[in-house]
Amino acid sequence: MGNSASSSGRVHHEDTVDFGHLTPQGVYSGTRDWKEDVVTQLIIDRKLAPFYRPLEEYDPSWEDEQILAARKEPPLPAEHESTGTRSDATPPTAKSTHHKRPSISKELPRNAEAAIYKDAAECPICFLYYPHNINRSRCCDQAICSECFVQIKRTEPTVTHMVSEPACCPFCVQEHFGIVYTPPSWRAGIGSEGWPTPTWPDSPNSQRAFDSMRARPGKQKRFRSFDHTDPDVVTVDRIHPDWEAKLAAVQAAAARRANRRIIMRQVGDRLVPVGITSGRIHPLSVEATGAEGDGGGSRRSRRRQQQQQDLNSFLGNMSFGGRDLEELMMMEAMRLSLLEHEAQQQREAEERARGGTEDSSNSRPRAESRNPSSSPPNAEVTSDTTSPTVPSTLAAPTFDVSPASSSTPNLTTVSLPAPQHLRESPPNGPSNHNPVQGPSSPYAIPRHPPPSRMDSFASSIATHETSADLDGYRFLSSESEESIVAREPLLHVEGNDA
Amino acid sequence: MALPKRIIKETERLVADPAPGISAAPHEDNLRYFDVTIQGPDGSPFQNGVFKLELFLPEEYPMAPPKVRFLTKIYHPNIDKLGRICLDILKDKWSPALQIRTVLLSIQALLSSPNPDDPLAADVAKHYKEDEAAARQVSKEWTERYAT
Repeated sequence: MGNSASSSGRVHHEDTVDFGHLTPQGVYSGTRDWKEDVVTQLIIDRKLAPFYRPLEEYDPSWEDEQILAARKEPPLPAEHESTGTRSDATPPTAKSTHHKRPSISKELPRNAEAAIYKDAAECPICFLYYPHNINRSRCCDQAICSECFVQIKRTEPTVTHMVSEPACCPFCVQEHFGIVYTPPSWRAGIGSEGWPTPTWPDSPNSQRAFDSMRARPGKQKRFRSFDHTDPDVVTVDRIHPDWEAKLAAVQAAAARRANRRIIMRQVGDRLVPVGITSGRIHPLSVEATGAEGDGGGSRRSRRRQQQQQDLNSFLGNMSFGGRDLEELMMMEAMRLSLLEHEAQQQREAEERARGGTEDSSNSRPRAESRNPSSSPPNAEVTSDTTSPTVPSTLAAPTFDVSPASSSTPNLTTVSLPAPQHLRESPPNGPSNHNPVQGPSSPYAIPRHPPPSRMDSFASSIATHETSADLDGYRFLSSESEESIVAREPLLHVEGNDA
Repeated sequence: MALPKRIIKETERLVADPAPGISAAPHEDNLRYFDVTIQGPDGSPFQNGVFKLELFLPEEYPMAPPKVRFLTKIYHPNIDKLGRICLDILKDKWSPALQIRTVLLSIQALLSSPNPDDPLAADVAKHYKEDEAAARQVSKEWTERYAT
């Protein structure tokens, strides 16, 4: 392990800070998704410990050579080319080969590099040893090396869990994890001009160097916790400032998905789903649909906007409960049935269109008897209630339409917030067949479809509501562990939204 | 990628200083895969049982939690038929400061204190809530039948 320490171990002070590096030393192999320029500046400003080459083992009795030999191998340049995507991720070892030897290095004997590890501290996360003045958690004063610190970030938001909570301290679980770093009383490398250079006695294992690595006077021993807004604290968010953009991106993706609408074509006396609109197009204008909204999907999307932009005006008087989830599951089941049977449906529907009179005579009386008086107050409500038609339409996903509706427009849309978490396959298929893109099309939907048709919709639904629930759950529970796990945050989100 | 030093050290410490009632040994051909046994805690219906588990450290460990599963059948509201465990630190409450040892101790503690309000095995949880004495008896019988 340490056999190449003498060849690669020489620290060149042009690109180091207090004998540590500006880039990680290979403890972790994943992508570097923190803001590297911010981290570099924090190291130069002595707000974050530089990336020291860690010791894999440490014993206080070791001689300098043993310490140097115990250092972890520096990362290979090739490793970074494969993992790093940023050009400024050049590893210090590669860089230093191109530099002329800085004059200052001859003033610093080799034992200085070993002396910094005196009384080394073990990072409780990577189990490697670092110079004593390692970063400490702002809340509970636990040691954490820079290499582990930059790995910690907010949990990535997902479509099923669209929140971004501040990262917690890995030790005491306090929110807004951050560290404080107390630099040594001397400086070396970048930013050392005008500062006392460390005076290293010639003898190895110098007690003096060891002492000077300790915290500056006045800061040792008595621990006080720092607020996460304290200027001396480096928080996780400070080096991962992109969390807001990530959250917004997930929210936008979910909103697009939620904005999708099924496009229905009336074939004879039936409504046949023929496609799904693009989520990018807002199918119905807010004014036209009124406060109740034009379907679960766009309500959700608007709620997201509200979270982000504080647009309360549309939402003040709404209250949605678990209904959203129910709606969502049923619509998803419906969507799947569309994907699987679309072609078949089309044929079937056409066949039925030819013999449509029989069907309609069967369905109409039932509809009327169940909802004798009703003409739904507005189209949006019925548009919502139509969505739970799943169970009855799984086998033959066509919709009864009474002849009275023959004068209505040919197409209607049903909101469809196709949720990613309910299935593995990406949305596809029907959108290609989509004959209509939103309300601007001449074929697009009536905002206020005639009550008669909606009556029959509602009646066909009502009888199947209970089984719809069961179907939804059965569908979920047959999924993999991940999907089951994903159900929890979904419920959580729905609860929060409402 | 070579095995991270942390995993090597954790393994050494687990072997050198095992937690009471818990053993964990890595496979020779895959040092990220552990055979685990946990003794049922005294005073629980799992007392005197020895439960086998498997534990796998994913590539992202310790930034991601280990994957742990019971191999021995167990009648417990937070452990399902497949042996999957409902425990927050194995999911969203994972912290990289936790270790194999702490995870296994937490699982052992879960055996002592089932939580039927956050069930993974719905039927077992229902049983525990409706008639705890009878449910514990079933747990005890399963322990005698499968975990010896």
